[in-house]
Amino acid sequence: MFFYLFALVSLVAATLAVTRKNAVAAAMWLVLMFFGLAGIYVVLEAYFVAAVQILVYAGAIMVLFLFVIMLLDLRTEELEHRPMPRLKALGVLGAAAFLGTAVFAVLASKIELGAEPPPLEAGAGAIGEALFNRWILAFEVTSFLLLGAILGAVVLTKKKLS
Amino acid sequence: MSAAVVPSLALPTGWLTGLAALPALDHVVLLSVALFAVGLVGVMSRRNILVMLLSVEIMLNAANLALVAFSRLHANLDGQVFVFFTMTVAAAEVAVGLAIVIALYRLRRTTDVGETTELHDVDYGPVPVLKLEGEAPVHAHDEAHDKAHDEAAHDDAHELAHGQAHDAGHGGPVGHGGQS
Repeated sequence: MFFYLFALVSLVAATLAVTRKNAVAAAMWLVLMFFGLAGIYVVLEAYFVAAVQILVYAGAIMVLFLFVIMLLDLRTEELEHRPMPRLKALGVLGAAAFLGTAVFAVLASKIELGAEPPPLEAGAGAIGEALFNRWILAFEVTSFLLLGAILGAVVLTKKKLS
Repeated sequence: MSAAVVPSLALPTGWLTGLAALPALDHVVLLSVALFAVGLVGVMSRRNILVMLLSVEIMLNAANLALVAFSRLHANLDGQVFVFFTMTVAAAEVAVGLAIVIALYRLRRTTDVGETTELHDVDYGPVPVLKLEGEAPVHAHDEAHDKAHDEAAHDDAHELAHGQAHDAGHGGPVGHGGQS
């Protein structure tokens, strides 16, 4: 039952985050969605992912977002001053088309989603073992990705782009 | 006196595990689909680039949820390892994306993607001709046009660029096409 509570929280929070005009409000609703998803991860017995979700998403990524939003200091009335109803309708229509297709695909799939799954030990130890044995190369490549992202962010935000 | 039937205040054992029982995984996948659709609405119909980036985060989280659900279904940890990598990529994406937003804001004082339409329906003028080092770059105009007429032999690259410039300048390939 906890799943449905968390599902409701994250779905409502995501909808509100997408529809808020004020970017700070949107970011705050998104934090709530991250917490809801972390709860779902706990229900799904993915404890490490739940912890990382809180630490990385709600902790690091959202702080970066809020930092930039407040740095830019946007006035709400300056945003969306030129409404484009056709763009909005098109976006909603496209997403509805995706939703219909994907829901149909899930309902019609041959994968037995309702089956009782076998037990899974998914603590930090098990994840770490998988990460540092089987996925060690991907893990190392990730460090280069992060290094590239750091350098890219520094270069992009330099005062003089030459 | 018989013992009063006092309703037990203690919750039945296992109530927490009952509430936190593993949900039907098709419902989890459907929630993931719904969250992805919500994020898609945000990306497609909002014009504030910050909210668009937030919506991309919603979509990445929806994908993560599906990965965890299937990882649980198959009792295979690889899905959760993949979630870890997705989060790393999301962090890198946010860092670079927000850097671009800041650069855009410095340049334009806006975060509205509707106002950054430089690449849309703009006449860039004549196409500059690519020349080797040493020669002066020829900006295709009518004088370059005439000069090219006088030259007995001109290479294909020159000819191509010239033709394009001609199109841009006069709105039609008529005239020069006959020369080649």
